[in-house]
Amino acid sequence: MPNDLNLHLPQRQNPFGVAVIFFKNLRIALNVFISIVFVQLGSRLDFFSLSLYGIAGIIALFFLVLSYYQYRKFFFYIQEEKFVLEKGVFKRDKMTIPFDRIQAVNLSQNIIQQMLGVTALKVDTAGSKFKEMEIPALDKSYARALQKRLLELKKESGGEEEQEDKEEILSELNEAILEDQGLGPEPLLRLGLGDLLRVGLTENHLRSGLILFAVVNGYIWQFEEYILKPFENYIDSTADRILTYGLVLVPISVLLFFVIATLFSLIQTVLRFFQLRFYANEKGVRMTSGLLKKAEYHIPVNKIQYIKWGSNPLRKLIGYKTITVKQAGSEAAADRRSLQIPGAKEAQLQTVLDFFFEERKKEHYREAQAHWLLASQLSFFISFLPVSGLLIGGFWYPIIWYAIPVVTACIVFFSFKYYQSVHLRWNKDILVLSKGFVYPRSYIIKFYKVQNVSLKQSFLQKRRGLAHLIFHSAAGDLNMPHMPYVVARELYDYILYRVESSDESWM
Amino acid sequence: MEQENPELFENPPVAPDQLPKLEMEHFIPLEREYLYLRLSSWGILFFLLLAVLLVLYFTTDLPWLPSLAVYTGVLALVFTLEIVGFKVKGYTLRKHDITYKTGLLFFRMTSVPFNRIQHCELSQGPLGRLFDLASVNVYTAGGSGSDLSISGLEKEQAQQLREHITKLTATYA
Repeated sequence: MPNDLNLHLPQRQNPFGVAVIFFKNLRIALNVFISIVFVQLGSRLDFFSLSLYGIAGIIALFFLVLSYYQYRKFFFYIQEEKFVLEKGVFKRDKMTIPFDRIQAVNLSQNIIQQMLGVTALKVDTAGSKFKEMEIPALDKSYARALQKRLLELKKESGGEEEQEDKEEILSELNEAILEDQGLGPEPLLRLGLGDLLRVGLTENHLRSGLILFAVVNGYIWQFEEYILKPFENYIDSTADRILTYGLVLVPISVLLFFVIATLFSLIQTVLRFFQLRFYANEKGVRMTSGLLKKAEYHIPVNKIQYIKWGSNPLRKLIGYKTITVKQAGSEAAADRRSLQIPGAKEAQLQTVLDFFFEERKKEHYREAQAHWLLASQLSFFISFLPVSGLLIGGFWYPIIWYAIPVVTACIVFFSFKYYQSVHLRWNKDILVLSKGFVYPRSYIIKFYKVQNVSLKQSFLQKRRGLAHLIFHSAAGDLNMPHMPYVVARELYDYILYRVESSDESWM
Repeated sequence: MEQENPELFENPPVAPDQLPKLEMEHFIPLEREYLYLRLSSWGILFFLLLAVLLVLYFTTDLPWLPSLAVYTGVLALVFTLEIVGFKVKGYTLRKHDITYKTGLLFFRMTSVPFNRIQHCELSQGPLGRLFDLASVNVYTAGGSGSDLSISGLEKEQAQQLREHITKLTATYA
């Protein structure tokens, strides 16, 4: 491992950087190029009598030259307590980040980088107003060394109270270095190909189908006129026939939707969680995974805001749970900052919880249940639209009215089951909130991680002495609906007392 | 860390009835002028609505009696709720936190401990300038839904409050 990082002189990347930058450019170019192709197909435009391949060749050559110069002009170095990155061929761009503003340094590899054996290094800044600071191609060992050096420099620059935190990051890093050399500890959880298939098949297919539909729709309709043009003649004449065959087409398209959605979630799962390795110890959690883009994340223990675990009907059957470790972050960046581990077994969940929530073993739990008002309110709000729709539709086809009791019964049943599932329990130090019948999920949080508390009470709740209690954390809100007002007030006061008397750092 | 140095951090058990309670009687009501401010902003809205109704009345065959009845009904309801609900609005400042409550039909109370405040600012709208009122906004890391905004303070009083909070917050940072 090169310990002599001479960072005071401007450094270049690994020469393979040319290829990495080239493919990055190509992806941007491809987006532009696709629209040219559509324009070409649509109107047979002639660009100086060049064929499509000719244009593609010229563009590729241009980007190859550009990528070479982008590589040549890309430097990084250290100057006066700052990490500096310079890049840009036509417009020079100089990014500077003081050591104490470095939030995290992460390594990642996309498929090109994996093939070329290089690693990208990304520096996250506090209050990220900068563009992302990324060095796309470094030797793996060099990248590790640089990562370590930057974190050490950050450590030296910081105040005392952050020292512990950084110790933890550095020791995590040492563990990662050992693992690079094949000497690392055994992961708490690793997903094999079989696990991956099971996780993919038990995804929420409805959700992934809708996401796919939205993305494809958004992408395709940019080129609407070019796609539909060749079919215009058919579309008009078949419109009527499609309506007639609607009864056949609808079930087929529903079936097709689910087949495609299942495939899509399977592909998504494999891409994201391929070779997942999840490590947990007293210092924090770390995870590596990904097929095309191999990414590594870690969250040190005191950055963890709360842990969520949940399941869905399919996963319940095979005993799989999804654990989500939530880190502080803005709502927009929430996904990137939380760490999700699918396919965990009950025993692994218990191990993770034992590491970070020792306090849950303490006795003297108190509990609160939601009031049945929750079931009746849910039933009312959910059934309002569909029932009024059916009611109106019944004036044309009275047979529709028979559906009303069936729909209402379903909604009432699920609302009732949901109301039964809502449950809050807490002891001296922690709070556990569980809710959900179809998608059961639980949250565990330490009191001192709460930022502030809200209590809500509608006029309907006031008569029955109920209230909502909302715990705002830096990673999102936890909401306990329709609990007894007296208990809610007591817990409200207790949380404030715990937060105000605690001098532990919430992040 | 707690488990590493148990002797550094004392944490004696506290009986639930000894906990500091947030007493509802200790809330400070907002300035009376703030009610007038709210009523005038509703007044402006209803005035514009009336203008729209008049235009509709002269251009279409809008039935004037029912429309007027609905208009006055909504106006009376809004003003009643504002006047009665104003008594609910209030804030209280304790040694370690600040609390704001509001809402007659939908009551909401939020408490922010001073050791969780990210920053604190003063804001004043055009109507606020007219009535010499300002709001103090308190931000935490708990997301946009959890931020606290205390409206209806005298400008000078608001400035004092902001300085007080900023000073207290600084001692924790």
